[in-house]
Amino acid sequence: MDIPAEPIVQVTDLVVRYGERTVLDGITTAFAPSQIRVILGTSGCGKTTLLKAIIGLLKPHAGTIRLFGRQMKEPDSPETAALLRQVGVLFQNGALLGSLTVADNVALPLEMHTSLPKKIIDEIVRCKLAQVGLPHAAALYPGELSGGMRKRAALARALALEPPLVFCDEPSAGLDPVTSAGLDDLLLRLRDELGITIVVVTHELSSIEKIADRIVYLHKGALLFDGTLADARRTGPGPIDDFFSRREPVRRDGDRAVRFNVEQRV
Amino acid sequence: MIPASLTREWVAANYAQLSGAPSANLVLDFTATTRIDTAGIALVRLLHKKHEAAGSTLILRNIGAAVLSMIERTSDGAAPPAAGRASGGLAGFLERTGRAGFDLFDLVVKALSVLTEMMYWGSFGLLKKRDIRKGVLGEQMYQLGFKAFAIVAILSLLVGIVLALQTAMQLRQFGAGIFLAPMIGISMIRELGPLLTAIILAGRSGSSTTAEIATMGVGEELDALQTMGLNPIQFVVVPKFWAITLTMPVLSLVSTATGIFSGFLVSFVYLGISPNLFWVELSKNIFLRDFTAGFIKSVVFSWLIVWIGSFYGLKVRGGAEAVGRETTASVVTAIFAIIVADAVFSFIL
Repeated sequence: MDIPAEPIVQVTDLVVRYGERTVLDGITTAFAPSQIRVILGTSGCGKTTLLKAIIGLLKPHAGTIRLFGRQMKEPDSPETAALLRQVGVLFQNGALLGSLTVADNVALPLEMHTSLPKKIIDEIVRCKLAQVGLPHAAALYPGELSGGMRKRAALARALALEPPLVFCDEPSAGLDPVTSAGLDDLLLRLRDELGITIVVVTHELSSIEKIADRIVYLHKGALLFDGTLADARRTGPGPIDDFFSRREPVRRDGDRAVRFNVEQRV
Repeated sequence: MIPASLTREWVAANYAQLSGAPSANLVLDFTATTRIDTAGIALVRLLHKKHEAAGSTLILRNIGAAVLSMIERTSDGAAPPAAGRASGGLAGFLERTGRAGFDLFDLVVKALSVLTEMMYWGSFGLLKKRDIRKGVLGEQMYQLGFKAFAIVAILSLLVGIVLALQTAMQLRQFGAGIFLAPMIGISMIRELGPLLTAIILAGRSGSSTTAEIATMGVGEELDALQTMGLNPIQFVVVPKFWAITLTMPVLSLVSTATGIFSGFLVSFVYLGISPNLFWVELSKNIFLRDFTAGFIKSVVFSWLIVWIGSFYGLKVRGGAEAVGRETTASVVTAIFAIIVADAVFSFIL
């Protein structure tokens, strides 16, 4: 496997289980700086679980996760909290705090983790909201925003501390094609202008084709492919080919869970 | 012989006949069948599973490729998980009991874990880190405490009037109406003031705590806090913990005062006892230890409310329905716990 010399994220032999069910089985991958890495696969393959494990929301059953060269410890440990301050996360539905305005949401990481004066924080919030195209939404509450605006506001919050690494969980989910394309452009700008490493979980083909520098393809909890999009398209018949061809998976031997006894098929 | 259309009408009419205990191989003749719906597919799958379990075989004879394909297409990974399905008889009873025991143990451990975290991050943990927004304590005191002021006062006044009136009627028969003052005073200070306030706050503030935290959990807001390096317990629960700890004794005093005032009104209007005599009799029989007992109770009740409210909020998994369910459970549990604690206090205070 092609692993970059100094990866910003390094996942080694990661195993995650929900009860007795293994959701991720021996995942090993590494993400290089200033790239957009797309984690993809069909629904239920473990994409979001991988993301949650990397950002410390799920405790792995086995394996190690290193961010910026430092190993992630227990989810509640101070070391993990310190590492996570260098990471921004855009959740699938934004996960903005409903009791705070958009401006307060964006200001929250700055208020909690810096000693900047209030006026400077307010100005940073205005800059971040302008950066994501929401200059007039500062005083609104999350419940008053559309899906796309909510995601943009959440991205502004994720970028508040100017983290070198941003994770996005299905940024295009539930958005119209125009808003979705706008969000993709925004991610590209962040990579190109600020050199931010972005990890995107998605299964939107148009988005993948537009933004992915490299992809990680998960299938039934295992890593099936780690490389460029062009190489992924050349893998031949299999789940990856099915995915890019936008077709239902071809039934292969062993896929059938129930075998019926058939006498004289007609 | 399966008909041309294996649909829910046919399945409903013939299920009982086909679903008996399988004793030998069963042949389903699909020669005439050209159409099948989900009920038909479910029937075939169910019979297949039954025969497989019994060691016999279900044979699909002369089945068309299209119909077979429909049955097979819906058969991927369809087997329900074996775990969680207890068998019958004594073994099943023991399995269910054991499982329920483990679930209860797990629940208690989780609840104690929330209590420990709440206490730690609300006290010593504040020296280590302070993931609390400026002004949030005042905001929570207003939401959880001040907004309950009117309802606590009104209900305490009404309960006080009812209690005093019922007591006064009995006392008057024995010419002992003057004892209403110490009776209502002691019962309000030691017992009813803290208890009434706690029950009102459990229904009002406890439920809002559960609903708020549960909604935050469902909307991934708690996860978002964690990824921002913030401790969700300290950010969300600790301000509520301090807000209710500080406001509850004050509300208890309000409840006690309005309860005693209602007793005074009844004794003055109904029994004709002079205000001066009422206050003299009251002050002669009330001691500092009564206020201490009421204060300790109100603080402990406040911790029960915020602990149980937070625990149920944090344990929510699922969607809006789960939020409603856990909120109800939280209020019922909190009121139950408060009454149990009150009973325990009756022995030790």
